[in-house]
Amino acid sequence: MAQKKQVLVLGAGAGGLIAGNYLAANGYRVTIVEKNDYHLFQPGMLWIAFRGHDPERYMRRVTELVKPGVELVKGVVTEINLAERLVKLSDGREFSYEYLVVALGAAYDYDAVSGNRELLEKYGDFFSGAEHARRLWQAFSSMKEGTLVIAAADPGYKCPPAPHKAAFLAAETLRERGLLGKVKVVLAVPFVHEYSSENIARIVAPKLREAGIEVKTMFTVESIDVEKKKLYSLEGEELGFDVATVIPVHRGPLDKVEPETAVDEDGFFKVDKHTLRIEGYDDAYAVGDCNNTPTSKTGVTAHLGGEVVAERIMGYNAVFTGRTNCPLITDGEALFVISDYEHPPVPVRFSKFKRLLEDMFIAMYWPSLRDPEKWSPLFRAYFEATQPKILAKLGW
Amino acid sequence: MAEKIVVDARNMACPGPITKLTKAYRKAKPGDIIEVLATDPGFKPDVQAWVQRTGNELLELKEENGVIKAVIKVTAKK
Amino acid sequence: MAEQVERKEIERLVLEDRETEEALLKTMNLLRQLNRSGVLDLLLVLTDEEVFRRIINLVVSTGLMKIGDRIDELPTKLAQLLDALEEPAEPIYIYGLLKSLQDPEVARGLARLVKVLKIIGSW
Repeated sequence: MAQKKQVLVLGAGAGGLIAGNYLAANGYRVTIVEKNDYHLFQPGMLWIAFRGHDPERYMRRVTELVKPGVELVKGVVTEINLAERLVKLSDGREFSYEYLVVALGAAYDYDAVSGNRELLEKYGDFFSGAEHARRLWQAFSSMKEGTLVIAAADPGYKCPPAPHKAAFLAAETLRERGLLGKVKVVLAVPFVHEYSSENIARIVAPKLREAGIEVKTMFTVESIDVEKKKLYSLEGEELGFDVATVIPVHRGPLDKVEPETAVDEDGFFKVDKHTLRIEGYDDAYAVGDCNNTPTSKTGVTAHLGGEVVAERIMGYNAVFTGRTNCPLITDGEALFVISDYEHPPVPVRFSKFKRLLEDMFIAMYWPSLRDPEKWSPLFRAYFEATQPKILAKLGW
Repeated sequence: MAEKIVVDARNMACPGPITKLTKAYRKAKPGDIIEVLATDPGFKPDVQAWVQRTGNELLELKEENGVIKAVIKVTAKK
Repeated sequence: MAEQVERKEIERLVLEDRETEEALLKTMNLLRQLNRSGVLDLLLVLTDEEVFRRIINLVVSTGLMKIGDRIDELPTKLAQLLDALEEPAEPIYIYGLLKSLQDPEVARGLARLVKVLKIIGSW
């Protein structure tokens, strides 16, 4: 009997773990390269930064998240050569592969916006890691008055509802402390409406108003003057702050990719949007935030992408549809931004039921990383039942 | 020398075509032309609002066979 | 916050911790009763991969998602309907029916009933 092929997975984020573990469950020889000891549940940074949660709640050792047969390599990937089928690490080690799954995520280009590094050092943010989120909590929670500004330098940031969730959580904390009148929360979005999709903006706008959050639209941060405490936008406006946090410009994860044509001008891997194959190669895939698919960079798209890639390697004609399922959480309620390549976001309402579903999805996070094959039928049924094609007519 | 940048934002899921327009705008220089193609019907009113707020010039906006084409001249950048 | 139980801890907890002992005893009693009643066998059937998959596909449907979304308001509306339906009612005939349609809420209700008829007619 022919031995199943060897798969090299780069990155132990959601996309990498799901692809790797899924393949391992089906008898493939999998090696995962990861630079960190811990896997961070990224949405947790919102709760660390604005609710003061302990980062430990949102972190697990990578060793606990890989199946027993998977080879885990601790290392930093510095170079990929797709023609030679070679991956190089910072310590000189080289790996060749039969199949490659790139799941290295997006990197942040703090130098694209002047003042970004300085702002990050001073106030932290809810994107760059647990320590930065802690620093933001320290800056935010010590405010007794003034203006907190949450803004973005790049409309293509991962998790489109992130800054909205941040604003809602910040408002919740301020309300609990009786500071809502003293500390103002300003949400500056790089979109024409309160949310990138007008369908959703219409539903979110009243909730933002109710929570006392001020929204500035069409504000994409272009430069920051940390001393003067001012943000300047690409669209020609300025915004003053007492504490500010800016979502940085996103870039692809690697500086050195051969051939250079495999990545776009921002460094994201150019893939076929339905198969996730890196253009020009039938043995290399890119999953999640590191690719250039025309859909949001989110946990769900990484999860679904990981499954599609694993199934394609296994020989099935799995198709990536660009499906999103972004949770927008307010106090006790939530909605999901549901879209795919063929459908802009469908009309949805906030409900307690969706909040419960979201809590269940979060509770399923860790087990579904390690045993994706077990959880796949449940997720599949949910995504089938809530297809944009159906909900576009019915709403939810 | 003025450049023409074509942005293909057709068949995009959320967050939609304005995202790609803003990204192109960041890199554009005064005098450049940005042409955006989109299939999301929301893009038509959105691009008009964007052009008005940013002070750039909308040279052309038309819809043909479900594809919206917007041609913008970068006039608001210094 | 959920506590992670390390493997070395398990032995200590089982042998020395009263809370764990109590929980284990209750679990064993539960399992024995489930087994005695046949429920355990039924649960085992449900864990068959094929069966489980079919149950999920049957249960997790668009309709369920839509109803689930209203799970907090449905009981209120249902209670209102049931209360109204169970109230003592004097028979009214055509004349009484036409007279009650003068109430705008009743008239609106009639329009809604027509919409319901349309849906039922389409089934």
